[in-house]
Amino acid sequence: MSADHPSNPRGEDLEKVAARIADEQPVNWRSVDESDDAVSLNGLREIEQLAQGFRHLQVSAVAPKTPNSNRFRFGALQVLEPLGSGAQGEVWRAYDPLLDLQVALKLRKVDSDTLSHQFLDEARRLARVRQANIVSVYGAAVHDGRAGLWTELVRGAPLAGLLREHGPFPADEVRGIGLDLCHALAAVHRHGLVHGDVKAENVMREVSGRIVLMDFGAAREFDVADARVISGTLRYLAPEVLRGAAPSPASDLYALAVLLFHLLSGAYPYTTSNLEELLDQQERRKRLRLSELKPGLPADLVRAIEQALDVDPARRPVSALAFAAALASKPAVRRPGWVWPALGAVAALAALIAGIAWRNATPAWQAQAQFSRVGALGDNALADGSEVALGDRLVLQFQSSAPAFVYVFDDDGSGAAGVLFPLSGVEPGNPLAAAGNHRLPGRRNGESVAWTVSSHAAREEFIVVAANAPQPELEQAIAAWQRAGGDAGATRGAMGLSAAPDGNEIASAPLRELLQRVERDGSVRHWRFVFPHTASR
Amino acid sequence: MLGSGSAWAPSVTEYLDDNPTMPEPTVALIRRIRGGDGSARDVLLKRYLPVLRRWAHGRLPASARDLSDTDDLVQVTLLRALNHLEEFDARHTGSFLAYLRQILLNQVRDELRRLQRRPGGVELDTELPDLETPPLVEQMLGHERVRAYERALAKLPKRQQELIVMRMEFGMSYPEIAAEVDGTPDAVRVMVARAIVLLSKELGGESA
Repeated sequence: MSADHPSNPRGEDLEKVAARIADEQPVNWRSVDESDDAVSLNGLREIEQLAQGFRHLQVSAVAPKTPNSNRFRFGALQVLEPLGSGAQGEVWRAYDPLLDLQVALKLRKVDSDTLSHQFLDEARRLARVRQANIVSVYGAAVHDGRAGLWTELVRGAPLAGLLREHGPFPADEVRGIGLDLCHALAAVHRHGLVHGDVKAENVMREVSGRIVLMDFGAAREFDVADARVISGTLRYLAPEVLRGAAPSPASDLYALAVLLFHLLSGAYPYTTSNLEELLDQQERRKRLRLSELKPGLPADLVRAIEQALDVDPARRPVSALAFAAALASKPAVRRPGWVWPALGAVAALAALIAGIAWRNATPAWQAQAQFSRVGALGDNALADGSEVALGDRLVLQFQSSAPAFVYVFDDDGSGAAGVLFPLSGVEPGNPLAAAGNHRLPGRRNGESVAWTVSSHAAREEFIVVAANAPQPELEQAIAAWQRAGGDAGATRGAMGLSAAPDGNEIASAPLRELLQRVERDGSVRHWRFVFPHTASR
Repeated sequence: MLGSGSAWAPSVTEYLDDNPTMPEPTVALIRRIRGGDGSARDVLLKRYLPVLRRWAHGRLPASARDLSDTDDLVQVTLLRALNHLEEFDARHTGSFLAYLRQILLNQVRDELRRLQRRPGGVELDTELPDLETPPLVEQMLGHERVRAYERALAKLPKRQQELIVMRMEFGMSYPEIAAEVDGTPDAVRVMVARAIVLLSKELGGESA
């Protein structure tokens, strides 16, 4: 790796446009800089047209013109196939010709005016809740007496399916899911809504790893007297809701705690799915304990979940964000290795997705690290599985709620590592100020610099360390590295030089050992990111 | 209210074969089929039939794209290919799906010739675009545009061609493509975008 100044970012822009076409997303051509590379842009416009044409063909092919076909239209939407159904609702895959997207259409089976009105009112409010972990609403309407709501089509699997397939989730994975869902619920609650049906079937893991909360609004139709309606979610319903209280943010947090309990253990806090027995067990506070079911789980995680499971809503966390703080008292590193076993880097990259690390002793301290590729239109976050290529310019976005000493190392898989931060002559240096959004490596002589991929390798592996105090082991190792590297020292990366001569770098194994020693301190966080090199570009 | 979430199970999900996370790689299925595993053969049939049917639907002229005709053609092609699996060598022919596409393309051309020999038919060149009743793909996109696309596509490396065909023509999801090329969905997504950029350079040059 090396660092240099902005050079040729066009490839990045073209790739973004190409990715939108491949993702079947509309391209905003007005935002594309057409000053150069007209040939490629012209080609991309053609490809967009071709892709739409092919897509229309696929749509027409999957909808055979037979009398028994269940295909129909809902307003402008072409409804293609059912995805799921239940006693009161149906979910269909549909094509929206205006957005030129496939969407998920949810239709009410019950067609009373009141229900339609409620349905649309809820949809309008939900449409205002925009959060990364909440399914996006595109529209709602009533056609032919049926109320419908259409949303993004989330491609992935529900957590319930993953649990069935792979068994209980690792603790760190559950912590990360909990954090994402806490932030989703916080957004919902901020808008005066309650989800009302948080459960493993209603949370999806998208193929990209994104956690998405789905299917809003069930709780208000909840009728305790009708056990058939609530049977599917009985185990997630808060005790006060089971006793007739209206759903509330506190009952959403209870349901989330049940979900996390379930993901960790495969069991539910109460052993029965019978309403009367459940009420009785709750009355007698007779339920399973995570610490007994799964000994060895992180105590802080168990404590956070158990608190949110309290029968008394007043004793649960006061808000979704408070629950998040309790969950996050230990670093949240997702390692869904059983989901994508083929990509060895994913376990490490998941930390990038989660992007949030919290110091053990003080939950209030939050730090976030994320790599981005520098493009003409700004920095683009490097997502799970992203490849990097020769010439790519990378930066690290780092935020911390407290002053932090940050160290960044790189290993291109050759078994040797280099120091990427701190760099002499580059500002800012350690410690990085609190509350700021730092773009590392920083600025030299007033100009932004970035790390450039400057050698062929199978992958780039980054280690980012953040601490609340200088780390003597790391400082000594960096000093030794600088001495061995001669005049350029640690700044050589920023000078555009790449691999140092043999013997001048910190070997990976010693670096790992070093990090292990440092980590024992307990006040240090580290992230590991791995980006495979693309074969050609 | 948006409806009863409790009643909506499963949720909005695209299941792939029997595995909601990752389909079994095609190369592994082929290995199993070669080893005499009939269930692997069923999985592959189930995986490819809808994809190839969609694709063939757009490639056949109106007189031959009735659903039953398309199904027949695709099923026969697929069964023949599975019966002669020894002819497929991934090292030389790329992905199995690309191999099937080529066989199917040949079958489509044969079918067109057959149709042309019918009474009232017109003897024409065997090239697809020269038929009186053009395939849907050309009705929708135009003869010249499709030809320009195919010429540009042919200039790309084989792997990039396959990625574009699988994503754009077959409408396969990233996990499905990942199973085909033995990769990961996210890596496939990046590779597809880059293949499209390569294609854009060729196609932009064509239309300039």
